[in-house]
Amino acid sequence: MSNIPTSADVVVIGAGIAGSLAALKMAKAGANVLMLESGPPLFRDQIVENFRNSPLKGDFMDPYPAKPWAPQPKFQPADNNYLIQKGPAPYRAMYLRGTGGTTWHWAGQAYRLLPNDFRINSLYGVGRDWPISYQELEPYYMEAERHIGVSGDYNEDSPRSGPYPMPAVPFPYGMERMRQRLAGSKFDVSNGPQARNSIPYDGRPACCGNNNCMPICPINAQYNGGIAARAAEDAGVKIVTNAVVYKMEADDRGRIVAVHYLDPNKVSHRVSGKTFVLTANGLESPKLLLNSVSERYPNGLANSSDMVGRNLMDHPGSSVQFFADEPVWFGRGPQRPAAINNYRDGDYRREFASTRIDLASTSPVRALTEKLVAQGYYGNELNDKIEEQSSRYVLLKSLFEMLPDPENRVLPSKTEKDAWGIPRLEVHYRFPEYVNKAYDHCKTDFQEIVKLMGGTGAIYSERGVYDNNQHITGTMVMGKDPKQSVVDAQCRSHDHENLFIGGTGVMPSSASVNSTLSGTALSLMLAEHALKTI
Amino acid sequence: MIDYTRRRLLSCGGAVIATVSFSGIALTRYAQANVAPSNGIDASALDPSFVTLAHTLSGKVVPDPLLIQRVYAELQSRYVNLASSVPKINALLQANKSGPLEIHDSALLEIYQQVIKGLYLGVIGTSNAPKCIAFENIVSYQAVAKAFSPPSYCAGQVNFWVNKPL
Repeated sequence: MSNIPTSADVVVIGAGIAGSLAALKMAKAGANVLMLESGPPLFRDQIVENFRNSPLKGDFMDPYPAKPWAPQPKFQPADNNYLIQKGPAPYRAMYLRGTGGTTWHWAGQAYRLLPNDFRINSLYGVGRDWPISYQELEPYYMEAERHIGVSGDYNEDSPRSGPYPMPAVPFPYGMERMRQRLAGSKFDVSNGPQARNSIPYDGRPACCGNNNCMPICPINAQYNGGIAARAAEDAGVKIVTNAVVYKMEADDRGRIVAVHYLDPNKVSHRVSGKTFVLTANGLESPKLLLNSVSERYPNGLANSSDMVGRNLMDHPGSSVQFFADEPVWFGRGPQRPAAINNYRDGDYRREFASTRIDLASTSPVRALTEKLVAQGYYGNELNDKIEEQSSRYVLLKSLFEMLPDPENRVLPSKTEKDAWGIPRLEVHYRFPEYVNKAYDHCKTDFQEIVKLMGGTGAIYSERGVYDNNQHITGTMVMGKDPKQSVVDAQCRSHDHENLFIGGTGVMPSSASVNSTLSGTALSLMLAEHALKTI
Repeated sequence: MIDYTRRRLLSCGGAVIATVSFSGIALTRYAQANVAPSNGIDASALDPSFVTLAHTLSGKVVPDPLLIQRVYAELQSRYVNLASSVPKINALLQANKSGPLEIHDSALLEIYQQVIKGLYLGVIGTSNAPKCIAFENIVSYQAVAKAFSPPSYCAGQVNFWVNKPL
């Protein structure tokens, strides 16, 4: 305990991919950086073992058992109620509290936003504009891609100042067939950029098709925040794990002067610093700010706008599953190698949400077997059906853009606390008609794709009942106006000159692409500004 | 919940496999050769009618004897009427000429489902309290071994997915 630092130039809260890469950048620039992570260190081999021994193979959280002091949401076999669902729609965010954060169990999709995603209010009269442009963030996209190791060849209409670090991961056979069969239609099947080595990179091997990206890449071909955290440590960042920051402390001038954390013995520690960077994800970060109540800050810190915790966005999704008229063998290779991305933008966004469709290549064997067994099949007939169906199974999953709605929000419960006495979050969440209309259009698209693939047995997900995609955005929104936003164009709090907030929680728009690369780019950007304050 | 007491038995092959590539066939052999018998139960003590049931349910796939043993051991500890139920299930299967099996006796149906889920999915128990007893050598993955590996096991060659399965 006596070796644990009690002060640093920069204190980073949350050792996920965003915090770790920001910390790495600042340490390399000469700053003395301390990173506090609420959860434990995570180790790949143990996670792989946990996965193989788990009875809930479809639950990405199961290989990552939570510590009592760092609870995290879990919904299988039942909701653990860590997030108190106030509705009307459930918000089933599955995030990890541990070194490296949620990118341990992500799909590795490393998309950039489109330039128009930064201006949807100016262009389409909906949502919010960003206080920065795509062009201003572009250098940090390049930097993030280089750190992570992004493979790709897709132009995706996001202008690039340089090539991808690696060539694209080649299409699986079945997706190439799908691309060929959909050619000439409105659906352009393309390689998505991936945080996945197509060739050896950065001392890590190329993907060899374990088809286990979610919940864990067994060989580190897929990037995760644990790699970033290790790099940060190697660069001199001190990481204290199992340190649950529960309060931030500001002085009379509004400068953050310290944070307080509880250790596994519930002993409180105080850590002071010159500058603070908050990257504890889009739910835990606002929780900390809102819990940091004082006489001077009755609504919590960084919250003069009353926007902390509000404008919660994610990517609700719909799906279709069917059997193609030829074998396609989805489930071989990486889990999300391809998508239909070619109509993410357009004037339609005035009326309904930007949409993207993933070709989901998660092995279907388990799910199909469960269904067939429940239907009473056994023996050779069961084996033949498993073999036949798994060879033709196709799953398409859409991602819809949410708009920022202040009533979609999280706030600390006044009555419910976790085992370490920290108030848990209530989640208020609803899907707007903007999303429901996108569902309607997407279903029509799904039906057309099923037809083009000679599909049978199509099952469409239900309107209004959407998957969640763990892309937590909006809760500490960026903006020019301090009355309407939490951080400025540098990701600096409007209220506290030495507090920077990074990750996806500051994004003013969710668009329809996975948000990790954008959150990481923002964190690399803020690191430059944070360095100027020490 | 993860049963860490079982972890060593399931993973004494798996811990090595975590970072090394194997073909599907080599994987099966490895699993058979390196996973120890569970709980010290003598394989020859298995009820022959249970072995018959396991083979009937698995069809042309020959289930790993250790897998059968584990399913048997788990269900024996959970169902006092296992020994009397298995012959009844065998009789129903024999009478069922084709198509899905229908079992109207709910207690018998429950045991039947536990056996077939144990063999094909490596999971027994209830939806609220499932237990993993096997993974890489379960019957469903054996049935598709020409095309699919169990997730987290690599087929061995970078970019193999570009081609059709052989």
